[in-house]
Amino acid sequence: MDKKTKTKKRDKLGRGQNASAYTYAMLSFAGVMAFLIIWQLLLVAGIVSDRYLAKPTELVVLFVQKFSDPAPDGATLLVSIWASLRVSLTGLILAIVIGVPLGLCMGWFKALDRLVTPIFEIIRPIPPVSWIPLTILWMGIGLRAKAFIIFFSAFIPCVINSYTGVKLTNKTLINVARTSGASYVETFYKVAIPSALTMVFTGIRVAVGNAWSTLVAAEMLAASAGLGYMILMGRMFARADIIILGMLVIGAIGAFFNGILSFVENHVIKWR
Amino acid sequence: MKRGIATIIAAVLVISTIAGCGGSGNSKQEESAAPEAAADEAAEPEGEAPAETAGTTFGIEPMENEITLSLGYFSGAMHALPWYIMEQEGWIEELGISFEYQSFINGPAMMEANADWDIASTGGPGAITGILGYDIKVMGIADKEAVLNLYVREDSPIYQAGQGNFPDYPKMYGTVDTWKGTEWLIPVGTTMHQTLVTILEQIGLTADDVTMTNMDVTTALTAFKTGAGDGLAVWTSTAIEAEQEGYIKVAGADDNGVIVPTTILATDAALADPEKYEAICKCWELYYRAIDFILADREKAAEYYAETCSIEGVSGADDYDLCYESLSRFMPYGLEDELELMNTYAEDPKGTAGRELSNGEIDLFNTLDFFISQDKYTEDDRNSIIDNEKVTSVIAKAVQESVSNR
Repeated sequence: MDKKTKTKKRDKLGRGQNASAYTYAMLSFAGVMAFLIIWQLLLVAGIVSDRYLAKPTELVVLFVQKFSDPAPDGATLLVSIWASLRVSLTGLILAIVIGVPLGLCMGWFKALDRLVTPIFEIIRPIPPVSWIPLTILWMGIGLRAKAFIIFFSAFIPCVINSYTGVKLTNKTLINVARTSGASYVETFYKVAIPSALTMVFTGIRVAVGNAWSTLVAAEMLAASAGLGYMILMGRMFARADIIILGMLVIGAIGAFFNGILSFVENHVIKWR
Repeated sequence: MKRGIATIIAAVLVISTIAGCGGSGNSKQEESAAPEAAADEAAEPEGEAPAETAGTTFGIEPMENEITLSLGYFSGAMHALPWYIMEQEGWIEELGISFEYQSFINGPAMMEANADWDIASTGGPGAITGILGYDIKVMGIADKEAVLNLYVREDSPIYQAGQGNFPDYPKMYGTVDTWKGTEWLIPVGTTMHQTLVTILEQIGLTADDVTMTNMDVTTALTAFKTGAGDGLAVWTSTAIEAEQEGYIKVAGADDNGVIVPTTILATDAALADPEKYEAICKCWELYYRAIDFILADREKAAEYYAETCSIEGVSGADDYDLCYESLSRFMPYGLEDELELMNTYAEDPKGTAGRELSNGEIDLFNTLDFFISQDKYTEDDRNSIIDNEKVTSVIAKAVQESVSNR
């Protein structure tokens, strides 16, 4: 019966059929495997030189090896991950804690909007990396300085999305709240903020991506360990495998954070 | 009907694209085959004209057609100075060669950008990155880099402990305890890295006894001024600037006898181009003749050095007196010495090469073996350099022949 229903949903070309979750998972897995096999074959066949790209199988071996072997960057993988996490999370959390409330308030309170927006619009297009020389002068080269670079890359999307989220609040909802006797501030935190949450989470998601993508630049400032530093050392010693491993670990950690964020989002905005 | 027309147009576009790609691929193959054949011919000893017929400063035969070589120029480095001198003295112009400068402030970045230059000079560590990771060959050793210095502030315990605590290195400041646990701002993986770690080993410490914070030399100096780090490890021009800032040199490659060679290099692509190959041979000879010039007339060389530092924007390094002082510590190879270095052979000190190595290779392998001992490279990397003759004496041989025939 079930099969019959599914068959009915198909059009002439067989489109519109819903496969099971297992099938979709297998398709994703097959896609990744095909990518890795093609990558491996290109290197095995010598079409791409192994000086420029490491084989996936070699990367797996290197990944395991780097848990105990500090060569050539002088730190094991866990030490590098921890060093980078400290930098990126410090910058990211600061950006969220400062950026989201600022964006929400800017979206709701006109005076604050007019006060802050001109400065924000000037700062917004400045690439985070260009802050490096001033950062050294102001804060030296420690954790604070590196977190500051990450902060700038993550702060902007937090502010913009929170601001836009509040601005997009349905006017009818605002009017209903005000008519029901809610004060201006009460309407802000009972209507505008919940309404903006979807956009706020999108902003944080972009901020997470920015934070990790700025990590290499932040660790270029000065570092003795970290994933960005590991990539730089790979570059310094012409080790394509170390560079790619560093990139993949950054990608995996970014994806992990994205997963956590989706989980939190689904629980915080259940009503969506 | 419309669908039919669209299908025909799409088919025509696909076929023409495929045909276009195939065509260009073939022509490229033909093009690339020609220089290789020509390079083989060019690798044969050149028959230079005698001095009296060449009519140039050193009797080198000018190029038949004018040519521009793209030069990887290491801003502020003394090993880059001969390129500038040969241009300023008009020696390359009379041969029909001109330089297009591509400036860099560290070796690895220069190696990555190898598509943008034909010839270059850089420190040993940068050269090793280049010959292992890219299609580049070392064609000569420039000098034994001497201005690789370690600086501290006046209030540093290393300076406060004074000199004379290490009998083998009387000029070195500090004690083992004052050195231990310090943080150094340093470009890791460069000649400075080799210098710092070798000096630490000389006093019984290792790289693990200090913290090395990786930074470019110029950024390191800026950070050091703001109070970051306990020590500053910088080379040539930045070292001069550090001295101007009043920082104290507590050890250095010259005082501690650390030998770090610098090199001159060419890309495989440039060596495979017959015209460029010919120009590179001429520039190779001029490079070492320019070194002879520096050794013979340090006053004039210091003027050129200050001038090029000024042009390159190496702040503080355009001071004539400091340039003169730096050049007094320059330990380069002149033409005769270099020809001997690259054209004489000896047993591999490690005994693993399976063939005799040129003395130029042995010089560079001092640095490579240091980095292997630090787990930065492997024995396989060393073998790969030897097997692929990444340190080549071909140019030195061609120049030797050319000079003998003059």
